[in-house]
Amino acid sequence: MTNQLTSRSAWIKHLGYSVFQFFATMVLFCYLITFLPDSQLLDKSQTERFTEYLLILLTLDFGYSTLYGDPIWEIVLDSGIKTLFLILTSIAFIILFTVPMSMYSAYNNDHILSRLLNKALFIISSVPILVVAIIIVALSVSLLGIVPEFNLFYDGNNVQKVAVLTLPLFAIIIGDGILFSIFETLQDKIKKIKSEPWVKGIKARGGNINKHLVRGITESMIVSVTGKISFLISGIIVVELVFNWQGLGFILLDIFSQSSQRDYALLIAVMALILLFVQASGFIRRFTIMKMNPEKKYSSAA
Amino acid sequence: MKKRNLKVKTVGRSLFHKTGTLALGVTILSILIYLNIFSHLNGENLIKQGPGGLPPQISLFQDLLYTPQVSQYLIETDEWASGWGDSEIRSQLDRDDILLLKNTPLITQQIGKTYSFRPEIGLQDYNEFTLNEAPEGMSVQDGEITWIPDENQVGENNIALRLSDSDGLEYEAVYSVIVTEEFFPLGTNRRGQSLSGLIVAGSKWTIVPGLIAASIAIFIGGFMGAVSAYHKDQLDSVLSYIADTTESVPALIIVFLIAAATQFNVYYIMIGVGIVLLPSVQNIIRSNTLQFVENQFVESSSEIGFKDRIILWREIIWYNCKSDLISLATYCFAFSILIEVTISYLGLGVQIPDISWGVLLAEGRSSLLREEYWMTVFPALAITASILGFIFLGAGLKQKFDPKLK
Repeated sequence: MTNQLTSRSAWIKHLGYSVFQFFATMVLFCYLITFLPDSQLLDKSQTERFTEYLLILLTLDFGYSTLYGDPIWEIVLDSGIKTLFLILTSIAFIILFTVPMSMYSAYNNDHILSRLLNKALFIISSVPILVVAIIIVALSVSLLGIVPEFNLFYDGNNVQKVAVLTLPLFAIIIGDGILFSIFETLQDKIKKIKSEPWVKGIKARGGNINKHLVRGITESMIVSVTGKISFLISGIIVVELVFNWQGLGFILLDIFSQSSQRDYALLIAVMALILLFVQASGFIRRFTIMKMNPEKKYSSAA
Repeated sequence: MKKRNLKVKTVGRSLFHKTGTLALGVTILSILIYLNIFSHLNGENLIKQGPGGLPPQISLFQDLLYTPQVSQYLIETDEWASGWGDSEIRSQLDRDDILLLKNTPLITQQIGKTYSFRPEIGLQDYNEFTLNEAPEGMSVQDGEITWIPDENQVGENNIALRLSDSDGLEYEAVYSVIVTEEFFPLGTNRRGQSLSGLIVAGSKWTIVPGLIAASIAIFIGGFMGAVSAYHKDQLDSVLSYIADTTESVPALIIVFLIAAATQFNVYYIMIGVGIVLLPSVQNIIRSNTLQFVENQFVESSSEIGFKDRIILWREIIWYNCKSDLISLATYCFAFSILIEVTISYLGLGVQIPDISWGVLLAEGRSSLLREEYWMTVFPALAITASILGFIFLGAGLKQKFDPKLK
């Protein structure tokens, strides 16, 4: 009973921390965008602009976009789904690639293939996501004869649709070193679990260590992936712009590229949705550590 | 003996790994510094002007990155028109049906240099080919075309190879060679500017912006991390919370915001990059300092009578966190190149007519559709090599200075 209560209060504490951090960051963001020079807002003081943006944030009354002419809620939801698709599928692909690779590497530590895999991933991780994305576009044009831009998803044939959906994912996974970073974390975790004295004890008794391994990998995977989410979103913004995906990153660039009459309500809405993704993943991370990490779990219960 | 051999082998491999990584990093950094100085001294003179969209003049690069257009024709005689001027009917042939030239000719040459091409004919039985149309001075000897272009031949020169098969059918393969006054090893962009010159000129946005970002992140972040770990009080909670909040915002959004607020001034943007990197440095130095604070040598130093300030900065930071700070600094350089390239590509950083690798990538992006790959490949290689160089340098320096790895 006491454990349940402690667990519930910890859950509420983590949720509260995420909500507080979300609002604190949004308020700070509303303040920072008052520094953006805008020739159409010369008559308004910084305080007036800040109050106006805060009101938009608190009432969630975004109205219509001055940039696109549609209701902001609709625009943000429509592009938010595209960005969310990229986030979730790229995470799925990262898991799909890193788990087998890290297990192989951890079990065959000194093997030449394992060392080569580590070196290759280290070098690939140095290639910026922008460069990877452009190389993928070049390869797609020269080998498939397809310019992988999002409008092909509506107008193209099946091959073009698959290319449009999968090629950006490869750019996100390979570029900027997310794959290598998660691979390295998992590999270290597996090695660590394997070298634990209690694991050696289980092995000596002829027991199965897979349960502990799966638990360790799952915790490590969730913690490292959710910890990388804001980094991943930065990469997704670049990929959206190279592959012409009209997601949240695309809207952000549209707004920031304008020199005056920026659509501040849309900017706040887009930022709120991105921060929501980040905070949700942060909450999942803290919750996973609390539930799955034995040190934290038993120290909080005590 | 076997054990000793293994030990020698392991030490040798480790030494090679350490020196190899460091040497590679130092080499790339030296090249970057040299290019920076060179571009600052020579300014706009570096960028030579030539024909627009010229493929690389180094034959290996041209073979890899460009497929020249060779037109193929079947030549038939028009009996009705005989004696009335042009009596030949030329019908264009598809490359999928018949391939007259199996190898691709070089299509660029500099004046005064020897142009040579030995065509491999795709027809099964054919007679010797002849030059039906060729610039002055071009000749065929033992199946090889040779030519030394002069200054009067600068520009496009058409070459038509005429050949006939055993059935008496006549074919013609036509291509053109562009003769230039200057040598363009990496080709030119659509505006005719030499890509090698543009890449050298664009390198100026690597060292100085990186220095700004790294200085802010390392000095301020390192200071904040060390202080918050050493004095575990309210200050630690506040600084950790600020770092946590800053880290939760995607770096690119903060950079966009600063770019728009400062009218795309790259130096201010790099201050922003420094601020973005600050929490990572702060967290790493904080966690490292926390480990050392509990160590016995810190207690001993305190008992000997060292002041807190000396213990923190000399014993902990200088002796034990130096390697982390150095490798973090190189990471900051790599990250600042990454951000500069990205924002310049998106049009929020360096603005044309100024040159940056990101601007070159953005220009090259539209040329991909015309299969002019060199305009993208070389800037991309320059970016990747510099980032890789800084990462190698960081890894090598960490291995050299880290007391644990030593």
